[in-house]
Amino acid sequence: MKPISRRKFLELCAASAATLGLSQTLLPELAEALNGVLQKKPTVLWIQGAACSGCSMSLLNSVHPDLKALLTEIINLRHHPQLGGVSGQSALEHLRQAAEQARGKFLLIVEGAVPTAAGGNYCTVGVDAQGQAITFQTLVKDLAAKASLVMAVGTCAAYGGAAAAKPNLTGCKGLNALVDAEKLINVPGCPPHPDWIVGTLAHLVMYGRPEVDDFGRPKMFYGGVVHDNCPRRQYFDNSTFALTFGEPGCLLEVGCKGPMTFADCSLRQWNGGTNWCIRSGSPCISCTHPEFPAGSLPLYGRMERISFAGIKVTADTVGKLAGTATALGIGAHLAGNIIKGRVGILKKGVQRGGDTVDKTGAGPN
Amino acid sequence: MAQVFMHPLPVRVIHWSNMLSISLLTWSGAYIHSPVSLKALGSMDDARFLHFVFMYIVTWGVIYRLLYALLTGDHKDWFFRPKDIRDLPGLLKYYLFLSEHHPHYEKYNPGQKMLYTVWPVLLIIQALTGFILYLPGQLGWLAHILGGVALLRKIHYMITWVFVCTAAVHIYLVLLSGWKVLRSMVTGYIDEETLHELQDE
Amino acid sequence: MTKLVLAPISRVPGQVQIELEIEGGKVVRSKVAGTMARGLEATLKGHDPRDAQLLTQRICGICPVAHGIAAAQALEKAFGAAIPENARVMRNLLLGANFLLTNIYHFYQIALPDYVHSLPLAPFTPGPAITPTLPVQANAALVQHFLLSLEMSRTVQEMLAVFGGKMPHPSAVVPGGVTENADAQKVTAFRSRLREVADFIKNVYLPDVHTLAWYNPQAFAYGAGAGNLLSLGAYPLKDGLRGQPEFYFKSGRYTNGQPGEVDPDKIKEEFRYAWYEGDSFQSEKPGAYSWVKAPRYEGTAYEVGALARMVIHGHSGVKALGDKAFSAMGRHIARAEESLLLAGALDEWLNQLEPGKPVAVNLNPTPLAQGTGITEAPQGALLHRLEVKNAVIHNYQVIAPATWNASPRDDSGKPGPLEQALVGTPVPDTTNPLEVYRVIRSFDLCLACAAH
Repeated sequence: MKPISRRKFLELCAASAATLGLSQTLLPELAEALNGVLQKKPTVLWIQGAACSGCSMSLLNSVHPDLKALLTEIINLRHHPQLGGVSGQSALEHLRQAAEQARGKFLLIVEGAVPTAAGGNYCTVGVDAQGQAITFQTLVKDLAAKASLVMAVGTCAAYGGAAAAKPNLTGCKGLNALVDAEKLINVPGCPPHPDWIVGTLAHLVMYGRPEVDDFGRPKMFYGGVVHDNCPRRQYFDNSTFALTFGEPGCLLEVGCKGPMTFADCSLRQWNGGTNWCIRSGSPCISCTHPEFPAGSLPLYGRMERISFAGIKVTADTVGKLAGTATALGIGAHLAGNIIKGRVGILKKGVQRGGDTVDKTGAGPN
Repeated sequence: MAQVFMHPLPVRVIHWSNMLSISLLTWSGAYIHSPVSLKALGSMDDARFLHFVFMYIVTWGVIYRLLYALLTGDHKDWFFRPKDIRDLPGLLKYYLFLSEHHPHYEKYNPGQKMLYTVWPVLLIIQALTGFILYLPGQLGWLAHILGGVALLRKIHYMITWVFVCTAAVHIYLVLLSGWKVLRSMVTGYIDEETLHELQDE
Repeated sequence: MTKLVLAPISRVPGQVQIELEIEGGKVVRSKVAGTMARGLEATLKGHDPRDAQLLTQRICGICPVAHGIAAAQALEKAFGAAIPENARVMRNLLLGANFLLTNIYHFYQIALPDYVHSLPLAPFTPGPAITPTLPVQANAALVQHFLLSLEMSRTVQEMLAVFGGKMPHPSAVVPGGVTENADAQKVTAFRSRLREVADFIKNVYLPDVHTLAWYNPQAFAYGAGAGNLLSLGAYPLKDGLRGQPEFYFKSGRYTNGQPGEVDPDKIKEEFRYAWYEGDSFQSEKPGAYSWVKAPRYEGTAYEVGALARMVIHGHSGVKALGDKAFSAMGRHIARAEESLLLAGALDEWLNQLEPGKPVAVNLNPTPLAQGTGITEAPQGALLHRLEVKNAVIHNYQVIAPATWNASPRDDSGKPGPLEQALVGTPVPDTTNPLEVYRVIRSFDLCLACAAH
């Protein structure tokens, strides 16, 4: 079977969509032709664990290329539990086969965190031939070992994210704790922008591994700070702050975490440029941060309360209490000194005399 | 009257430089923390400018002061050692009016030593947390190791309060000892009589 | 008797495992197990109550708006805040957009491949082995519409982002209202996309469902379940803080053919067959088989979702189906009819926005409070219960739609709605239980929501 051109392939696709039923007989030929084209594209296997499916939904929002073009022109997505076909044991069998066929060459995309507590039983993805549950942890380890590269899509997959928030009863971990840094690329976000996912894929296909920062994030998307390019930045510099939602002004006082967030949302915008969090008047919650969500709390305030003997108080309260106590202490001490005659009108004098003595202990200066 | 040389020039210069820096850092920092309720500065831009300038000055202040201590060995005067603990009860008794006898100490009493030992430690923590917050891109990894940006901000903020409180006590005790003590930090000299009065009261 | 264990079930968000006992070519007993849990409720404890809104959205990336609104409502009830009119309208628009997104997505991406030959393109192929019932042209049209639906998913998410900030996990719903202001440009940007989607629903989605139904009449014959339906009501037409809210989709129950009222306080979660003891995980609990709890209304299992809403709303098209509505195909028809109804309603509600008027009030949190947030997610009834102590979240409980539908057996041993619906489903070929998959996917299940 000789490989077919992209144009020919698209024609075939269009034709197949229009006349699919007619061409039941044509189908195997088409499938084979598709294989010829797609074999050149890197095989990608997408698996989901302790996830909310938001990352997959976000992928649907890719505009240029759209999902259709992504699947036909850029990658050969052999497995995606939410888009994909078969169920039951044959689904895992198909996944295993795809991984074997492209062993050492395929890209593994993981969506969702990996629960590790209770032997990984907080997330099982199927059963083996003996009826034993297969944990997501096992699946990830198995496939990651065979993959050439692993891409963690979403903050959960990359760093644990919402799934690993304290008290993390399920022992959820991000791939940064399970896969070697050299083999891993993180595309965090809750969810990640579709451009970040598709753009990273495109970079992998065209130029290989993109340059990443200390947290394994491609610098081309996560290199800058949201705050630096924020359309409301002038409000910040001028100290014009929104105190109620819907007001104009910098959103710092309603909890914006833009200053600590590395992402290009302020330039890229979301949903095909329709809108994005800060433009819509909502504070940035730093969803691309390795410490999300704990590091972003409180989402609508600037500093989280401090636990104090079982009571949660604000840092301001602690500070003000300490300040007041100091002031009271000084005041009381001063009063004591006056009463005791150490200072002030009741002061007792002491007479002494002597020569100049150097007390610095460091020689003359 | 006999004059006692207390504070060499570098010590005095660094003292006042630090005093100015820490005051301005606290002021601008408080504004950055709560720009709406504190209208003490014109804008966030001004506050951050001030904060970042004096961030560098105080960092150099700490470095030079510690270098000075290392070169001259003057830390023997003010560094709090375990043996100073046994001197504490006497001082406390005096401060709490349980005794009218002020024990005799070397250059500084154990309370002062404690303060002068804690301050550089806290300043180093402030500089560390501050620079991490200032350079989130370059030092993000360090923030992550140390427990996260949110925690470091909290630490940075709470230590500021420690400075506010301890500096207040420091200023109060200086003023309580009289303006001659304050003057000695400017001129370097104190008259012997005042010194003995302070040490053996 | 044959035993079948089906896992994983693709095209169902989250992880689900189905165990079947088959006798005489029919399912006689079934077990539905959610096999993934994250324990998100526990992660809320000890935090600022207002954080609940954005954190609970993370339960589900497909219906985040519903979780956000339910949490915001719970907070507003707890702290006694009345949201501005603009906020009420905008939330209805956001929720409506989420409904359209999910309904379209569910039909084309999740359910359709069980009926037609899908695209010969990975990852859609290999698909389920089906015997085509549709004529060639109809099949081809549906596959083309499948591709079109991907574009619609994007368009609806853009529409949602106009007022929601972004999608998934929109940021604009906040306790106290919304953050985005209304203006003519945004109203137009929303309406322009809405019209496009409404056209798709009217001219493509609804006809497609009816085409599918026409060629698969047998799909009306299985998947009935017990027929008990529940809806908590959604889309308040006026603010209900003082007095009862008036909902566009009414709240109500439908028990053994009899309509009834709903009192949310009578909803209790049972966990005899779930890996829980109270709110804590018990992964070694004997007899338990699911991470999903079993919510029951006075001990009865209720099916929730578009079918429940349309029956309780009294939708004429769904009513006309009679008992056929309670079936694998009936649920798709209910969902499509609901989409059409909502598309029209959204267009009207858009006119209620008043540019320049406020969109949010400041919440005044008190140290001690509790509140309940009630709405409908696209997948069905959604309930958030919030308890605040010491100015932080003391307890948080979510009863999501799939918690109802995919629930295991309750304390009295009665099966959950999907378990009931599976019983009686024909399984002519145990190596390819296609009808079973059709029943499972006729419920808009989200196992990420169910166990959360």
